[in-house]
Amino acid sequence: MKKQCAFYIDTSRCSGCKACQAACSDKHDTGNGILWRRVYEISGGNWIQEGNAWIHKVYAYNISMACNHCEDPICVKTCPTKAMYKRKDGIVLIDDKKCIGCRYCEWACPYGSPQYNSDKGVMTKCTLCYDYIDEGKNPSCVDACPMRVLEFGELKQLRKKHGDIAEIYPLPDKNVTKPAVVITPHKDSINKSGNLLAVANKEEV
Amino acid sequence: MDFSEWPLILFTLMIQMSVGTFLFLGILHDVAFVRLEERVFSEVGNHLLKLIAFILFIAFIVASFHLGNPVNAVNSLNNLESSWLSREILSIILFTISGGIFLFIYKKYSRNKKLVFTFALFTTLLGFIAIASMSMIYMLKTVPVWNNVFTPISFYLSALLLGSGVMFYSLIRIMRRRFFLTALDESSGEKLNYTLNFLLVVITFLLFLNLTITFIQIIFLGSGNDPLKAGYNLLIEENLFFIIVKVILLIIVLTLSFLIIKHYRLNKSLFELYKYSTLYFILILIIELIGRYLFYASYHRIGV
Repeated sequence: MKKQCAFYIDTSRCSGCKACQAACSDKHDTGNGILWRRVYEISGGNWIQEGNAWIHKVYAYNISMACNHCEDPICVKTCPTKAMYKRKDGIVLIDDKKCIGCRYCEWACPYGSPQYNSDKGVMTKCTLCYDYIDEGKNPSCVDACPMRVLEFGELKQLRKKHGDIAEIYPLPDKNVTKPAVVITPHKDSINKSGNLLAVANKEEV
Repeated sequence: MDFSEWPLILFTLMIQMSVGTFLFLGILHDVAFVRLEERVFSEVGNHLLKLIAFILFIAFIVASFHLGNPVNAVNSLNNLESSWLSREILSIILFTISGGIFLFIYKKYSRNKKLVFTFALFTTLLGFIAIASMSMIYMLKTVPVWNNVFTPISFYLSALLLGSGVMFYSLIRIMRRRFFLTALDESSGEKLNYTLNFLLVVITFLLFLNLTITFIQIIFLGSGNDPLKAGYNLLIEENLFFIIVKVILLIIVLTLSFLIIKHYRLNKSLFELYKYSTLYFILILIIELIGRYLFYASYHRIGV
């Protein structure tokens, strides 16, 4: 198996503070409205009447999501220019000298990773801070997280350490693109369907 | 829906219109029971082949408005191995080149019927491949709303409807404008009217198909899984007005079509209706524009 860089996300501990999001935008100067890392606030449930009492069965958790540098990246497959490419270490990058800004990758990616920069007319996305990685450091989002929710490493190692879950609501079936991500699910994300849960901060992400 | 999709709406419709028009030119040239007389065909054919070339030229310009960085547009052919967008662009370029060669052959070697026929067939085939590639662009496994049989059906239906519409409209207008009818003897005039009636029957059938598929597709999305239902909600909650307008226009144009067919049965002539042909054609264009707008408006992908 080839080397594959990956993120680990512990959704059971994420407080939704968005320090990772801010650190990413700050490091890469991503521009207005462009978020390479986004924190999705998932919530749902209702109050249930039991006798004279109302019992709450409401749920909420956060998912910090950037590009998952998929093993089978649909953005790379669909990109007509080959501007989207995968490095030897599995990181998916964009060569903006080739990109035509057709936004086809944006349509296709189920993680909302490729984002359009209207000032430059090209797509942009999480680079996994490859410059830091090449220097032996962690990506900026990982080091910025006060809850130690994020971790960076080799996919095989991360799976050995944390298991192989890569999908919780509202993320898609992992077989679609084989995301290089390992997730520790929040208790409220287990056995809940989309009818009970929804992304609460759609306008923000 | 983002305003940036309008160039795509126009581009896809223009390409489909070009392919459809080329197909119907071929039908009216080679299919025995509706074949146009050579002098009639050369009058219409010359105009329409130039029109197709013009539409294709405009389509490429319109498409560039969709690109954030059109300077790099030449790179769009880089990924023929896996990108349907690259394949679509290549097939449209090949259709355009083949159409250009056909025009040359048709003008210079029109006596060589076999050569003209072979190139017409080859160009039509390339046009159909272009529409198939165009459909595949949208049939993404992450976009279930588009990843179904309704995408190719609606694209081919647009090609046929716009193609037959352009053919009908052009035939009736060009013939009338050039006072061509006066030069035709009675049997030639009858034949021309018969061909026009054939086109009208085809258009009517396609409009009926369009109306039926519109309803079937909405039922399919509404009764599907969560991603399909999300597309259904986008259509019903945010674009119901456009769906209603499309259905009303379809019913109006279908009624008009039946009235014109009835007129033909009684009078055996359609040319006196040329005054209404522009309105008829514009209504078909509006139906197709709304249909394509709704297609893009239903976009919803799985995940976040």
